[in-house]
Amino acid sequence: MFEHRQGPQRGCIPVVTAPPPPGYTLRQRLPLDAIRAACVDVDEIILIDRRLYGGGKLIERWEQRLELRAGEWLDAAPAAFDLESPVDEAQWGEGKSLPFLETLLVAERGRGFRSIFAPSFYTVFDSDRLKSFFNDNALKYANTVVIRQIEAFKAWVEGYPVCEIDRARDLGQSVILINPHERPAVVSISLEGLEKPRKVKVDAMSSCRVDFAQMLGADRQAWRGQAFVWGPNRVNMFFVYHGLAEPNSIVTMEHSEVYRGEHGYVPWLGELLRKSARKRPAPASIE
Amino acid sequence: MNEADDPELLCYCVGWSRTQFIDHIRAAPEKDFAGACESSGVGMVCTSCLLNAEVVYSQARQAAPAAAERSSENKGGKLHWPSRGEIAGWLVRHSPLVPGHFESVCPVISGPSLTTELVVSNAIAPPVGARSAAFAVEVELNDSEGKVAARLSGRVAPGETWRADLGTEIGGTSGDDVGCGSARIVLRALDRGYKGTVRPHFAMRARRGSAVVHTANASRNASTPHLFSTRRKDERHFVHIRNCEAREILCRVSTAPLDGGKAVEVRRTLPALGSALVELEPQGAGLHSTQVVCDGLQRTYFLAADADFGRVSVDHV
Repeated sequence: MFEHRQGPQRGCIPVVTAPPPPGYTLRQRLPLDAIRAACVDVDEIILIDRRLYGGGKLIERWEQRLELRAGEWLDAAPAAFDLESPVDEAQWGEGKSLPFLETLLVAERGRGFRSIFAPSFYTVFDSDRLKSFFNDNALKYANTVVIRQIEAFKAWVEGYPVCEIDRARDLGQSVILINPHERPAVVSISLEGLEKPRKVKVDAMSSCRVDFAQMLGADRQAWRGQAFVWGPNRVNMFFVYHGLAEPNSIVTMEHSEVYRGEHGYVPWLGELLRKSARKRPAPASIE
Repeated sequence: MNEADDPELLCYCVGWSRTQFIDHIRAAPEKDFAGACESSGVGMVCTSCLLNAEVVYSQARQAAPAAAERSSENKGGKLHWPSRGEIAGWLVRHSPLVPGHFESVCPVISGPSLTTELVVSNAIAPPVGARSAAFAVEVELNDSEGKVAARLSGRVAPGETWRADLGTEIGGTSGDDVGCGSARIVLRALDRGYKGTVRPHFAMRARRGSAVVHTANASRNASTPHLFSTRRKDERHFVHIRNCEAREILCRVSTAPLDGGKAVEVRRTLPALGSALVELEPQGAGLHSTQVVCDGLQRTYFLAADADFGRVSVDHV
């Protein structure tokens, strides 16, 4: 069974964030307390390397530094990052070529981080007119659940169990596919009950939006069920619930569910140890 | 960007940089791409970096081969004594298998045209086939006072989906009231297959949109501080707190503007297994942070809704 490398890490696995739809602002606020707790030393300089990719190239890059001195951040401002939507409604509606954001945390001074996984955080997407939503980003590499899946099945497949289209109620759904790598990827998308999967090419360093309503026949008023995405090479994806008439009017955006390669039966000794060693957190004081 | 300056590794699973992989490729000119990956481990674990690794391989082969004597492999035949953790891991892996018992909780809300549906999908994935186990599903639905409102059970075999409308048992569906409660879900494997897609999800269905999120376990007293935006007028924000203790707990919900300002605190006492939907009180427009701290185990979900609950989004925090 694979285990991630132990010991201090110079950098964390890059985090991939979906593009802000038209009308929205992406607001990233890195969790400073959690990052401080993740630092091995009390004196470190952390490079925050944010990169906006799209159309096969690096569009823009922002490098900022957080300095931890004697366990305190000297200036917290670099933890905040806002990005207005770089796409218009026509581009979003077509969905063929969208950008995406990558965020890397790298220790430039000090021993780095206790774990290769960056502390998790949500990204907020807000707007003057459209409903706000938030999303917990995706790991570009080394997702533990994907590793278990590859070990079990030698295949990659992710999806979402409860997807929904309802033309009468203006309920639409899409999947945003993000290929942060340097070669194109081809994935197949299947919707439960539909006979033929659809193949989609996701160009290198770009993302696209596949609208499920377009995969249904025009006469199909409603559909509800499981969606799967698979292929020879893994891409990141987010499932988006939105209006049909206005696909950039978002209700919510969710990370995918991996078809899990862990067994339903578990080792007896592991269960015993887990139950006997179950840690209860120290009682919190409310006063 | 000069690749040598790029702080990003090529493969985070095995911890190899591009330079290390190039050295490895050049040191073994007889190896094709698959062979280089197999011998180094690059691209063989989560497989996400395979596309990048292929680019690096092509470039390294096209470039003049370096007289690289140094191999990046660290597999020198040294005797390795297992640690206590490795021994314990081996013993665990080789102990007899028993049916897994997977427990989680979720919020339940209901109101006019608003309901919560629990879904357990045991789907057959196209490239994998029917490899998942059958699972027994048991649900205990608690109202906001923690009283048992219903008990549901079922069985979900590969290719089947189990659904239950939880909202109708909670009430709050008349007038403008939004009722709240919670559910505890237990999955038990019935054979030795895999978990597949059975992690339970709940769908909050409203008039103009649905939101679907997985259930989660209860292991903490405090939620992670959570951000929300009040930029758009007429949007309401809530936290749903579920007491996961068989005793009363006290909870404190603190909300403050992110750019400074006074925190607003709300305190709620939750009966055993009870729950509450607490509306957050922002101060003006902008980003706010909220955190829930309780004196017992809890699970918090955050909800953002239109003023009339026409659309609701939800996620765990």
